[in-house]
Amino acid sequence: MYKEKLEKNIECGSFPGQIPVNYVYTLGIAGDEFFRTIRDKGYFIASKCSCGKKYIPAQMYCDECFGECKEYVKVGTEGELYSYTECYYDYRGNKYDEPHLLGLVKFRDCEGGIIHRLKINKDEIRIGMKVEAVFKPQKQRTGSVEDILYFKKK
Amino acid sequence: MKIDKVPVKGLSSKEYEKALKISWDPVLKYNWDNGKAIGRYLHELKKGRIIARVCDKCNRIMIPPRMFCEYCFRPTDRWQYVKDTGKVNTFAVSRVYWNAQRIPQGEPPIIPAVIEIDGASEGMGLLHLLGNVEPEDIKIGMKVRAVWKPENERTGSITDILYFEPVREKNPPKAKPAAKRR
Repeated sequence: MYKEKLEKNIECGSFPGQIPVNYVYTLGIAGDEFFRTIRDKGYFIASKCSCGKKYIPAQMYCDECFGECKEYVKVGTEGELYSYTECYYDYRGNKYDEPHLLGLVKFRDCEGGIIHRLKINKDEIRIGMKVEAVFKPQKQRTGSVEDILYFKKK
Repeated sequence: MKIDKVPVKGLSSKEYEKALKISWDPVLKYNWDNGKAIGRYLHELKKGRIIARVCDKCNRIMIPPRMFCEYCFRPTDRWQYVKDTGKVNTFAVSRVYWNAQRIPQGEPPIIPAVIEIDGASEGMGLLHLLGNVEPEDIKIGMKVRAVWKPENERTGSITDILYFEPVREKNPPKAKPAAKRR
């Protein structure tokens, strides 16, 4: 049997490294339309299937009937706070100066929703409250989720 | 549905330029547990030595070291230092980097090679790089020696050896006929 004692080679006990896995991802046909509308017009659109389901962010195919969502409908900027959480650290483990509030915002009669920062007083926040998106000035928008600054109380 | 009926098409470069995109550079750090054999091996590399592991049953001197003999199906028995010289078992000349990016014109190619280490059993060796040599001059079986990083820059990694370079004979005229015969 194997009986040798552990060596004291703690110095080289493990090997640290980092894997570079950068990517560029196109948003797709519906995603492109969705973020272009945010960039150019400053509101959300949903994609609508012939079965009546609406999706936000817009998607090309219906989860329910697998049909193609051929229509885009304006949803506006108002939604309802479905859930929220308070974050103390960013995703790389650095502590925020001030805790961030993140929430999932659902839109009327739409499937899906948008997860984003909330700028709402902690005493006032409650699930189900009406919220409204605040966008960057149009010139600074690039067609990304960061064009939305945060959601505020409506 | 038949595959040719799925309305899928690739983007042309023009369409790609126009399309909205997101890019990301995720931080994927890891810390790999070396285990006993490789831990000691890297520790010795940091000190500028190469260590092997011996199986007393099949008498193989194994490099890189391992704690288990895959031939005899039993634990290996002892440590043994081997030399930092060896001979080229096989090599390749690469004109692309590890990420398939082309090496710029004028830059030297990368020459990965398997080096059979002197003192270890035949066929036992390291995958490393050849340097300080023109690709045309490399021969299978040619004698090479390790070029180490300066001691204060070593980190306990296989890259503590920068590359292997040819051992140049002091008396080239004598060495030449020998090479021809082979």
